[in-house]
Amino acid sequence: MSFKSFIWLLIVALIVFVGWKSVIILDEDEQMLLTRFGQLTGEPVTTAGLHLVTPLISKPFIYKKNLIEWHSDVAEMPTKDDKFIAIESYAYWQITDPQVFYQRVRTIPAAEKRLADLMDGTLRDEVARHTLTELIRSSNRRMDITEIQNVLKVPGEKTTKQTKGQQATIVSTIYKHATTALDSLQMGIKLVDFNLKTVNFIRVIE
Amino acid sequence: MAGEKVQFSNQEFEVATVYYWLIILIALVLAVIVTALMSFYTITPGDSGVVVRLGKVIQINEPGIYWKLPWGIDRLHRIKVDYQYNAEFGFRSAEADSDIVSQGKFYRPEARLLTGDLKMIDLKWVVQYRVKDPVAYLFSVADPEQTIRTVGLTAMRTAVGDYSFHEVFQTERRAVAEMAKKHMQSKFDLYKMGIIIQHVQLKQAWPALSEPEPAPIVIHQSAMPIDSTRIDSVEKTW
Repeated sequence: MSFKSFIWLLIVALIVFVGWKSVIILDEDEQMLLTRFGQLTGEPVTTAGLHLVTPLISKPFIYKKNLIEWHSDVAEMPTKDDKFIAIESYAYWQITDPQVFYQRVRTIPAAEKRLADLMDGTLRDEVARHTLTELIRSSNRRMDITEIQNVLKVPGEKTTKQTKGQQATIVSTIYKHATTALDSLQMGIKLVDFNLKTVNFIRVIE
Repeated sequence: MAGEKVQFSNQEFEVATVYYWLIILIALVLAVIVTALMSFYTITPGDSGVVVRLGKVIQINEPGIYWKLPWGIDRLHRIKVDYQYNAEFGFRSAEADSDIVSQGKFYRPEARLLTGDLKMIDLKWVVQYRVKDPVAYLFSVADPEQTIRTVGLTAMRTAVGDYSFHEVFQTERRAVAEMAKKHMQSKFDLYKMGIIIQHVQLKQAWPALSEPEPAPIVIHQSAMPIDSTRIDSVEKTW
């Protein structure tokens, strides 16, 4: 290969590389920020499709704009009536302001870390203020209860029982507290939903 | 006929230029035909095809034959819109995931629920749903199937938590399922997932009378000869 054709090859490769770097394909569930030497430039791009950027100088940051699921670890905590329970909760959240998100949080794992701290604390606060029955039930409906000695043989004694249920209130209180906290933290994210996935007695290890 | 000289071994051949170009032309035409053929696709009845061109949804195909741009410019997502999806909770049928639990056994991490009168119950249930809006299903949440599992479990935990053991076990099974269904649907509407819950069906319920759990007996199951009677007997005494 002669020197001249080598130069030509190099030029073609460079053009392809620069061309490749100057188009960005955004999916329907993505949004993009452009930065130039660490500084944000322009408005966030939220429409899907092909976008042209200044190659090599503009650095794009692409974030999801749909709902992101967050799972807590299993957290063990006491209720007001001194029962120890294990709770696993989940939340759906969304990056609503990518510019703020970029400046304050930058990555999704970092956001989830902060969300985890916030949700864990708020959950413990609320659970400790209520009895287990209040946490488990969601209405005050009267329940039919059979005291079971042996499910398969001895018919039990039938009674009814009314207990207060406040699960919806507890969950929405946690949601409100967390939303207020997120607003004051200004992370550019929005909590869409929060709920308790599992509530169980702690498995006793003997 | 003007030609080009090609050196091969120690001899020189003359290749006619016409042939030279003909070969290139045929190769090109073949490449175009193959690409074109590979770009045809059919959407079978019951499916819906969402075509994404460079990241943007451009059309939603009804069943039929279609053509899309090749080389990844157009991407196709097939979504079964008329299909009745069936999500299993609290158990896995053998073909679904033989590693976790065999047929007839509870999958404890999901099955173990707390009733309104603070008793533990093991429950199996199925959720039947349909995808109404394929675009919403694809793009509203990061992982729709994971979301269905999370929300399904939460819905049933909420419903079972509002009914007593006696009611979940015997008298109010329909009402429990109905409450879970309503809860799930309201969540999917909130997330704009484009899913319709058609039916929630409670299956086997069994009292979980004692804590702690028995030692897991499936640990060495693969190493042992399969003895179903033995596993069943452990299940029943428990």
